[in-house]
Amino acid sequence: MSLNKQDKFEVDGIVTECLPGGKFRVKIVMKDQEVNIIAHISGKMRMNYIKLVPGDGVKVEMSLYDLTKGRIIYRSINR
Amino acid sequence: MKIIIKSPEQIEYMRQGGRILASIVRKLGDLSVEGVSTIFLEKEARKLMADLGVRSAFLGYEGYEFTSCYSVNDVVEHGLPSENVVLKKGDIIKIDSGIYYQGMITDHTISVIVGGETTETRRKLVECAKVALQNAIKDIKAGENLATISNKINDTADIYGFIPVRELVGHGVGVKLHEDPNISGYRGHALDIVLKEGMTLAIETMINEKGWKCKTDKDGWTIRTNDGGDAAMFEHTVVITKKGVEILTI
Repeated sequence: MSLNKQDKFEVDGIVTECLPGGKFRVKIVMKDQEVNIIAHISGKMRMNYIKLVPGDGVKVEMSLYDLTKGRIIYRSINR
Repeated sequence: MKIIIKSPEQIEYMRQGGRILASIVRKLGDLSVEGVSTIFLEKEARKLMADLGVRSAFLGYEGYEFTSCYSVNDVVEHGLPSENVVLKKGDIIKIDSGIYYQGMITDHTISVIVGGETTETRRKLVECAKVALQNAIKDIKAGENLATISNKINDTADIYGFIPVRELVGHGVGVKLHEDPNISGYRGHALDIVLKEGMTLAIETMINEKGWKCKTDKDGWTIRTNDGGDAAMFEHTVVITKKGVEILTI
């Protein structure tokens, strides 16, 4: 039975820097290595005025086809 | 992404299950003659599985109510069996089934030309899907890249002048029906993953006659080509070994 193509996955990360244009540098752990990616804030978070600052724990949605970018979909409650 | 490496014991169960599944699918292919409905094939599939003492891996999976998929002509995948779908000479039917054996799952698909004769385009389409699968696994072994499989499938489709499906993919299989990784037949979705001994993969070649775009019917399962063109498909469950690939559904 074929599978519908799944090319997105979620990772946890920490915001390390705020960049212009709603983008953030986020540190994530991939294959046991810490890497920095550039992630943008999701529309839903923007609509709900959820602010991000360095040190915030976040959930990032990433694509298998570009492991340098992501979309921040959740900010952890514990700051 | 977590790719499950199977133990020798698990692989042996999949080997035995694969043989049983291949015999079931082959028999269903033989029964796919002019005038039979796909619901008849489903009833036969249930009888065969009961007689052989195996359980369907599709029945109940995410709400699927049948043991196998029966996809005719422009239906690419997940065709539901129906008394209204009656086979005609020259039709392409894709029979896709999966079973549990000692807790391990194998998954297998064949394309059959009803009556053995059809248009030249349909004959080539089925041949393309079959050859694409052979090419995909020919030179693969532990240490090679999963992307090679996607590239070989796409290359074969290019040679024949057909298009690989993009929205559906092959997959890891064994403990679960759908495991990591995705295995696309489209080179643009090829994943850079090194193959390891003990990986068990369901490699699928879904090839469309005209365009790659598909749509889902209102039943929520049946996937057919947007443009009405035909589709063909073959699928084997294989295990990656040091020396190459062992086909389990044979």
